[in-house]
Order: sequence, then C-alpha cells, then structure tokens
Amino acid sequence: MKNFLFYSCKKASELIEKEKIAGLSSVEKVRLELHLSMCRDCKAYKHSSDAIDQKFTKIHHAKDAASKAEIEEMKNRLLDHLKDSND
Amino acid sequence: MGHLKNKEEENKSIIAQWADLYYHELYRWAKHKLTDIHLAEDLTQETFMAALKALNGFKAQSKPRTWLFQILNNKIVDHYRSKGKNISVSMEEYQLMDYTDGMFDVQNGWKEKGMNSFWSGTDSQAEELDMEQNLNNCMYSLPEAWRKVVFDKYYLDKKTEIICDENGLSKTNYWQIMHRMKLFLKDCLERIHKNKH
Repeated sequence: MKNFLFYSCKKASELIEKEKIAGLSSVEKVRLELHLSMCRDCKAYKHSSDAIDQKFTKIHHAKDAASKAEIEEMKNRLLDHLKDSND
Repeated sequence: MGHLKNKEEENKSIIAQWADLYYHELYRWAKHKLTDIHLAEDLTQETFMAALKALNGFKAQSKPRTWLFQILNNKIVDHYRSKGKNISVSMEEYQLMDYTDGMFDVQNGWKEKGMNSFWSGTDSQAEELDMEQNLNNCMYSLPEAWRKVVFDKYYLDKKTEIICDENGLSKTNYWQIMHRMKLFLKDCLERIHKNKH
C-alpha cells in the first residue's frame, strides 16, 4: 500500500526532471506533490536541480552575446577561403 | 572538363550552405573541447575543407550535421593524440548509472540527507567566477554522448524535439539522461565545495 501511494526518493527525483522536459500526467503530478510535501530531502534536490539550470543559463547568456558576432566573422573567413580554394 | 568545374562549384555551394547552418555549433563545440579559440577556429575550418574534399563520397543517408561532427571529433581526438594525451577521461554510461545509483540507499532514499550548504549560500562574486570552471570540470566526467546533450540544451538553447531528433533519443531517454546528469553534477559541485571549505 505504501509503495503504491508513495514514490521513492529516486523516483521522485526522476519525475522532477521529467516534469521539466516532458511534463507529467495528472496522477504523477499529484503523487509528486504529495511526496514533496513530506520529504525535505527531495525538496532540497528540487532546489539544487533548479539552481543548476539557472547557473548554466547565466553562464550561457553572459557568453552568448559576446561570441555570436565573432563566430559570424570566422564563418565568413571560411566562406572566403572556400571561394578561393581550388582542389 | 566543363561539367567537372560545375560539379566543384556545386560542391562548394553545398559546403557554404552547411557552414551557414552548422558553423556556430561546430565552432562552439570545438572551443568547449579544446579551450583554445585559435585552434578551435582552425579545426572547424579544416572540418569544412575536409568535407568539401570528401563530399563526392558522402552518403546522403547520413545527416550532414552528424557527418560534420564526426569529422570534427576525429580532428579533436587526433589533436590530443598528437600531444600524447588521451582525451577520454570521461566515464562510460554504465559507470555513471552505477555512480548515481550509489547516491541512494536500498530503499531508494537519499544517502545524504537535507540540503548541502553549497546550495543555500548566496554566491560571492569570486564563487560566481569559479562556477563556470567547476561546472565545466564536472561536465568532463560525463559520458561523451551525454555531454553533447547537455551542451545542446544549455549552451545552444535547443528545443527538446530537436535535441531528441539530432541525438537519436526518445523523450524518455532524454529526461532520464538529464536526471542522471543532474544527480552527478549536484554531487560533483558539492564535493568541490566541501574540499574548499
């Protein structure tokens, strides 16, 4: 009975990731909420999972703006080189 | 002779189209793997030139993007090999599965309880700067194919459907990989934090 109703922490952590990518069915959603309402370890996992997403996003955005134009220039150098090449 | 000339021009224009489509991600991948921007540009450029040379043998059943990445990855491996380094320090997929399974007890509960202090503090500016380095270091232990997925998602902002399609994954495969990867990165960042304090 217990296992039918309650997810293990491993399963709950899986669903936390599934939700972000594929979404959850309404049953999964309810069972995950239930688990999270009672389990501070999984709440802590959810927190760190979100934090990892945010850290990646932050790094990405800081880098992205600067590099797009540079890479475009490199691509144009390749295209010039391509035009001149004859083999 | 005339049609040979035409064929060559045609090939060049195909490669130019591929450069428009794929140059950015190939270059970023090279830079990520090599950390040297000049070398990354050279190898990316060489990749397209090699593709031009080999284009007549290219089989249309494989995707251009996949093919270009194969050429580039071979060049990256060759580069490290020429320096006497073996680039592959990453774990195999089964090792990473075992490792992350090991974060749970027999009941599939967490072995480490509660929130690690790493996640509760606000980042100082210095730690913020370290973060990129730390995340990249941790990422290097991920299996090659998984690192590619993480890279596509976070650094190239690709949509789920595109990531699944390009990497030959079902949606379920994809979130399962993300789950294992998150577990591993969480553990890795906490370990780095613990060693410093």
